[in-house]
Amino acid sequence: MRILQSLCVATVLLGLLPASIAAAQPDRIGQLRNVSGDAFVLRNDSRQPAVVGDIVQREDVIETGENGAVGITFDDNTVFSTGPNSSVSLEEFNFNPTTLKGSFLAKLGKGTLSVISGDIARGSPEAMRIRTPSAILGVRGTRFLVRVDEK
Amino acid sequence: MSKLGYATKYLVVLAALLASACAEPRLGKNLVIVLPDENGKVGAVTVNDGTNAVLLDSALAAARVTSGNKVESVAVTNDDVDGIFSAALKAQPIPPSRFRLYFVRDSEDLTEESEKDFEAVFADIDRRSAFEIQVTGHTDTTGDSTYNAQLSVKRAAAIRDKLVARDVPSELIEVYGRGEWDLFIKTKDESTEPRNRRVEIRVR
Repeated sequence: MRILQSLCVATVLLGLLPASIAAAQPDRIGQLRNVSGDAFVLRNDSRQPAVVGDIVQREDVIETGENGAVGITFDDNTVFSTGPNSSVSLEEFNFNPTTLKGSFLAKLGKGTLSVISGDIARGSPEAMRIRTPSAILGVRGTRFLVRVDEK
Repeated sequence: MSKLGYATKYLVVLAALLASACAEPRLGKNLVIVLPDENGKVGAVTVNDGTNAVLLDSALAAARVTSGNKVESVAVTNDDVDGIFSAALKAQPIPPSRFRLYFVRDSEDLTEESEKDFEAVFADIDRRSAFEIQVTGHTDTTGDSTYNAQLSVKRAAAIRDKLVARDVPSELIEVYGRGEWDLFIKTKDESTEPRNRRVEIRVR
């Protein structure tokens, strides 16, 4: 009886949920744009070609070949784009669309990255960070470029 | 030439070779450059090597990490930016756009002027290869806050319906309401303020 009751409550609650993109795709943190040349998304041991409009998820790694480039818009309105021979790991992304607060950590392993920060970087100074093999960047609301060329 | 002369010559050549082998690439093994955004605004980035940090807070301010893992400021030019980052910059998605539309008091009807401004949303969508829209409704502080929360959601939903009526797929639209909790113009409670009766539309 109790199980039946909770089932009913759950059903009612589900019915009340707004139809939103976030509800339909719980793991998404952003979307791919402007893909050119050789570009891939690494996710759970699989390596798929990057396609415009596909979603990106937490812990995805974006890789480009010699002629590759990829743009990404994140759900907090941060914008990334990466040039050839690059590897970008989306290590951490938490965002609350109501409070506009969250945390963002990405790693540029090699190559080039252009960033226009979004809502998360407007929070505390530590909220958005970019790692490279030799440094860590703290971001306070801005546009910037990063290159890693460790040979 | 004396033995000492030869030795000196060798030493000089050796030193020169060593110097060239160890010459620091001008822009380091890691490079960070701050640029102004599309409105000319510059924020700040700190670059930390674990021991020291460099603060970059002006246009073209840059830092490099040396082969000795030390972060330091470095001078860069627009030519450096174009030369190194042209492909990344070319792939940059169009930054998100924001539109603010206003409502007639206690209604879900846009003001006459905002009805016209609404057209700019469609022009913006047309520029993008792919897009998503967030609509967030707001009210002023007149009346009950629970009522205002509902009104703000209705306002956002009204805009969604207008977008869908013009063939924007509904699954690309997210709708939020923030009642009287996120005022554009800060007022006391029970204040009539037309600029707070609004929706904010983010296209990205």
